[in-house]
Amino acid sequence: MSTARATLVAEHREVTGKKVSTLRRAGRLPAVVYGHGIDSDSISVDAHEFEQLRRHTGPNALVDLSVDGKMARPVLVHSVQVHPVNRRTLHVDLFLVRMTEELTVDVPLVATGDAPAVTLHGGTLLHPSESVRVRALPDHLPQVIEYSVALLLDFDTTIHVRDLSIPSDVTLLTDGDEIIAKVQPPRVEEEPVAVAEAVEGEAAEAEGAGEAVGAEGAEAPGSAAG
Amino acid sequence: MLMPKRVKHRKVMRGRMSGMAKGGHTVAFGEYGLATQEPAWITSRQIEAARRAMTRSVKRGGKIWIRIFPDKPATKKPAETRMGSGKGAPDHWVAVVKPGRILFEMAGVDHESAVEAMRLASHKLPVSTRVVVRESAKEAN
Repeated sequence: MSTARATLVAEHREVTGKKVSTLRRAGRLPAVVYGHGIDSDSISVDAHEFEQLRRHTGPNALVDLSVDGKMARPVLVHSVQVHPVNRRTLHVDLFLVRMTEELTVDVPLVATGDAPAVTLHGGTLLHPSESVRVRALPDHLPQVIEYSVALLLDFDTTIHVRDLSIPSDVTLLTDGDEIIAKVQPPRVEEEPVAVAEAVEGEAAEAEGAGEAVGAEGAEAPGSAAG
Repeated sequence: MLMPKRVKHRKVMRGRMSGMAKGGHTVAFGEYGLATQEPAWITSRQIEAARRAMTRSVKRGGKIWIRIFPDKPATKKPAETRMGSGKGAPDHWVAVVKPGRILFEMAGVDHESAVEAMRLASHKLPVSTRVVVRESAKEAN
């Protein structure tokens, strides 16, 4: 086994359900490890150590997981649950991989260079999709796929998934026609429009209550102002 | 202003806003998001005011997404009316949001401009908010 991989130390846990909040208070992060043909196991990892690991490794990086000091096995961070308000990590799913079995993962796309349509014409670079789905052996999973946006010379040019350079040992599963980058033309100055909008707004206000509310079962005329 | 084209019922019950956002709490389209920290009813006027504040702040460039839609009718009794006599007339439209919900998203602007635009937008809203950065955007910065 390669020793270049990051290592994560875990402990088996018996605490489940709502009681895992005590674990979190103690600085441990509840996690589960599972894999193809392997029974799932509830574990806990050090919360700080996991955050450090996430910060320094890519999303598809293999990690050596050692549970209760046993032999390390390669895992992928499959999903991370985050608290909706304080954005702290709540729970982690670890996927135990078989090095001889291909995996399907989403690989993030990274745009490099400057798009002339942005620098010269003041457009906005948009990324309609930020990852592609690929299939590969665990050892060959790309961390990111880079592509250059220097080809975006005007607002009509787009970069598609088929334009990406994918390594030969990786199979691309995403549709090649999907757009990954384009440049949106700059918005026109809004000031003259604002006056017209204000007038419209007042008119809509006057129609307001009756119309908005008389919409039951029927279309409200002139309702799409926003 | 945003409002539904047609609805099944003119008036609906007020409901409760307990708990946290069950969905829509991750930045999905842009690079920066404005997340609410409190539960509230956000009216279509407030959404429009916040959108305008953001649009004017970034002037040119950038793209804005509105992640909430005011689909709930709110009623109001006329002024100086005695209590009773049933529920008031529908008056405006609101979006029910719970803590963690992303209200707006932005892309195509630098970090400082996005934060400033969202600060201005948050002053138009009845909730305390927080700017959330997408994971991939964090790495790029």
